Parts: sequence; C-alpha cells; structure tokens
Amino acid sequence: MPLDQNSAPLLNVEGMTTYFDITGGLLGGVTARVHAVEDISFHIKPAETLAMVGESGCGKSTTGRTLIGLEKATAGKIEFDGVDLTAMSRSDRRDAVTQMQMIFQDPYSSLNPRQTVGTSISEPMLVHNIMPKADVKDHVVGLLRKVGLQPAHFDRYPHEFSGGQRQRICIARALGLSPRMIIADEAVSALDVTIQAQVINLFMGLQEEFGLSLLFISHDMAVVERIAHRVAVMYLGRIVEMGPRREVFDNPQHSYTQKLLSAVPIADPTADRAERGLMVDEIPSAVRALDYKPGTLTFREVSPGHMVANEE
Amino acid sequence: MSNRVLEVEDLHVHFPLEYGRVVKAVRGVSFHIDRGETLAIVGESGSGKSVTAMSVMRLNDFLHAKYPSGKVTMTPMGEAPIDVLNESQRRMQDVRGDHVAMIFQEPMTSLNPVLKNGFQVTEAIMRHQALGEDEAQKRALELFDLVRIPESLKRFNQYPHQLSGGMRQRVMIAMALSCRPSLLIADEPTTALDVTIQAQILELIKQLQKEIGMAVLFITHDMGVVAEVADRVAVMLLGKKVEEGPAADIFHRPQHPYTQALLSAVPRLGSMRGKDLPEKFDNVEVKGTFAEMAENA
Repeated sequence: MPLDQNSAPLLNVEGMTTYFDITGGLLGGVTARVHAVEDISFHIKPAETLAMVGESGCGKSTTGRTLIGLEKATAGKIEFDGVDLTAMSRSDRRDAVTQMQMIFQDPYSSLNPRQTVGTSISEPMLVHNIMPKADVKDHVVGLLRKVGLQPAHFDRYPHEFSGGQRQRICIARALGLSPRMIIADEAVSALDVTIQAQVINLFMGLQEEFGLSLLFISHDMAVVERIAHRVAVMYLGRIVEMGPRREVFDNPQHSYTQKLLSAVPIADPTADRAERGLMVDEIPSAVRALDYKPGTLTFREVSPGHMVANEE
Repeated sequence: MSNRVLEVEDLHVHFPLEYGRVVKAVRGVSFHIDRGETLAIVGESGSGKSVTAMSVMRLNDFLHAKYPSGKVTMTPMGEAPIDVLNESQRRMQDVRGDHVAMIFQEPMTSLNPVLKNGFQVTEAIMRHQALGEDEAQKRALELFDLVRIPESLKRFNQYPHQLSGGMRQRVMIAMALSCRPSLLIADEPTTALDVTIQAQILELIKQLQKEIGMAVLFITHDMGVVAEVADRVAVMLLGKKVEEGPAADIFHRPQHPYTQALLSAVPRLGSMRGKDLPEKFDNVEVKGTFAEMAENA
C-alpha cells in the first residue's frame, strides 16, 4: 500500500507540550521545569514515514513517549484516526493505542529475559484479547517468519539472540496487534551497520505490505535520509524545520538544520571537506524558571509543505 | 625505521573460559603505525578491534588474557624499543601514560565522579612527571586551554557531572595528552556524542595530532568517522584482519567481500539526492552465515 498524498492524516498533533517538574527545597515544591517539548504540531499520513531528528535533549524521544502515553502531555491535542487521545480516560486510551506501537533503542532491555520469545510476542495479543487463544501461536510463528526469524525461535530466550535478531523480535511483538502506526525511537542506533541496513529494509518492507505509518526518531541524518518521506528537525523542544525529506536535505533553511547536516561525517576520504574550524558551542539547557513564558515561533513556507521557523 | 611508533606482528589473544574452553578474540593480526599517522581499525561488534587495542597497552591482562604468540614493539620518540608483551606490569604502568595513552567511548565511566576535573588531570601529571603539585596544576590548566575548554578555570574546579559529554571527552583528551604520548589510542571516542559535538572532537584530535606529532590508533565501527580521520584503514572480522590499505583505496576499491558488504551498508548523506521516495539498501544480505564468513576470513 503506497503513500497517498491526498489521504487524511492518521495522526494529527497540535500544540503538544510536555514539561517535567524539577522539585527541590525543604518541602519538595516545584522549583523549575524542563521544557522538553514546546508547542509542536505535525501530522503523519497512512503509509508515511516522518523522521524526527535532533540531538540529545532536543525532545524527540519525549515526543514519542508522549504520543503513546508514557508521559502526560502538559497541553495540546493528539488526534489519532480523528479521535483526541488526550481527552480519553486511561482505559479507553489503552484500547485506542493498540493501533500505535513503540520500538525502543535497546532491544535487550525491552524484552523480559525470563520469558521465551514466543511468550513475549504473544503477551500483548492475549492482554488485548484480539484473537482466540488457540490461534495465537500460529499467528506468532507467522510474525517470526515475517521479520526474518524462524519458527524454531519460538521457545528460545532473548539472550540466545544477537542484537539485530532481538530488534526483529521487538518488531514482531509490535506487529502482533496489527498496528497502523509504529513509533521507532532510535530503533537501529545500537546495531552494527550491516544489521542496521537489514532492519531498515525490514521496516520499509513492512510499510509497503501493511501501509504502516512510521514515526522514526533518530539522531542519524544519513539513516533518516534513506527512510523518511518527511523530516522534522527538533531543537530545544521545538520543531524548527519540517518538510519533504528531499526539500529539507537539499535545501536546508534553518541555521540549526544546516549545522546538523554539515556535522555528519562523510564516508569518503577523498571528498571535499568544508573547514569546520574548532567550535566549542553547545546546545543550551531546556530547564526554565517557573515564570518563563515561551515565545511563539513563526514559520514561513519555503516550498509546498516545507516550513521553516523564523530566526531572530 | 626510526619513524615507526608501533609494530604489531602476528598477535594472538586468547581468553580462557571454564572447562578448558578458550575465546580466540584475536587470531594473527599484524599492523604498524608511524609517527604523525592515523590508522583506523574498523569492524563490527565482536570483531576483536578493541581487544587488539587493549593488547597494545596490556590492559587485557586484567581479564586474564593469554598471548600465545605475537610481538608488539613500541618505539617512543628518542627511546629504546619496548617489547610490550614481555614487559612487567610495573613497567607497563609507566609506559601507559608516558608513551601511550587511551581515550574511551564513555568519558563518564573513565572519570572519577567524586574528584574535581582539574585534580584528575593534575594527578596524572604528578604520577608520570617529576613535578610538584603547583606546577602540575599549572600544566593541567594549560592542557584545559589546549583542548579548548571554554572558561577553563571554572571547569577546572567543577566535577565531571557538571560537564556535558563533549566537555568530559575534552577532559579525557587533556589527561591523555598530559605526558605528550607518542601514541594515542582512541577507542570509539565519539560514538556516545551528538554529531555536532563529534565533529568538534574529531577536529580537535586532528589538530592536536598536528601540533604534537603523535601517532593515533583509532578504533571505530563508523565508516564516516574513518573517512574523516584515517590515513590508513585495517578492516577486522572475527579476530582477523581481512583487508588493509590507504583510506582512499579501502573506500573506493575494497577487495574483500566483507569490506564491500560493510561499505554498501553504510548510510551516506547525499545518496538520495534528487530522489523523492525512500529506498531500501542493496546488497546487504551478507552471503552465507557469519560462521561461513569466519571460515573464509
């Protein structure tokens, strides 16, 4: 199922904001806040991959965690398939998010070491009661095949697998609930390059087959260039540039996007290298005083769909 | 041969397990590095690249490593060659620091969290050079400036947790360079850092190498980083060196099938220029199993 540019968005996020309180003092009152995600808006269409890129602390992981409900949004709307998740009760939300699944960076810490792979993959299906218990095993075996593992792996334990195979297990578990969207948070960062390329190919293959929407959170610009339809660049909790991948990579407009792209090492020793000089600047902190009022960003449209935040 | 800093010949490293079993982590690796040169050893997890580097410092001994054969010769500037594998650990304690220094992937685990940054560098200088505390401190502060730590005096008196990852790695580099080593071993020094910070640290290492004239042994899995820093490249697979050559040859004319597979799996920025839709990687399903590749390696 290919991406249809005219289809309605599956996920629509408006003004999403996530703060974390920092407590301290004698009475444990709130002394400051981390403005992890600050008023971001974006959408993802069916069968589309949106890549969320940025450096440590920019809020890209918090964005994913807030979408799926692991963190609570301080403000804003998260509409999935036309329904606002932020307005739902916990139990309604739990049912709604079976269609949204998440995959994390370290596959070993997201698998129970004392459960067989088969049990781990079956569990979400049993919890959400999506098929008769008797059919679950067959389904799991099918999923193992789908992600490039073998039926015989059903009764093995996570420690018997390599990093790449473990990530395939996590993908199989996420697919078990037939999700319409997968949030992949640095899902290939811990893998060796040859394995990374195979897992990326797997994601793309599954997207073609099931029309999955993918929110691909990554710090690796070269991987993102390969996999994404659209790209959102985050800096200090905000999206500073967003647009079709080709536009953003070929014609980066925001100074941070340009800096990020020029810092990527070029895998060719004979390439012309721009003199970078000896920089020492770092990303400022997102910890803000309680009375801090974030300003609003204004955007300009460079080309259709390519939005860039205006800089002072 | 006066330019040769390090010569490794047919190095084997074994780690004994229970019941007489043995992990043969390195199986006959040879390479050399000259003054002012950067050799990058690349390979994936478990290829033996870190164990090779650790052998040069004899740090594997603490993991009960055995060296059944091989020879590692280090020739510091203006000094007699050192037969590394046959030296006592006592002597190696001087060699490590005086002649060869190492920086690691995660600077936080290499720094003592309860000691101030400045003291940790000062301590290293006092251990290896006959300097008093005042003089060592002065020298340490100069090193903070050398590695371009902004507000060096303030950072000097702070603790490691008050620094960012990039700044911590700068402190580690300051410590490593404190005795002007002939050889710097950098084991994935930028893997834990963001790309913009990575670019800063790579540039710093290159600059300092020019200023000091040291040789650098760079261990990494990232072919992009290799292309940025290396003069020569050695590719390792399952404890063996499968290919070695000048960086441009390895990247443009890889001979071994493993090197070819490794390079085709590297995501390259700009590879999608002019294309609207995402594309899969070609040629990444490595032929045969890992074990078969090991046979051929």
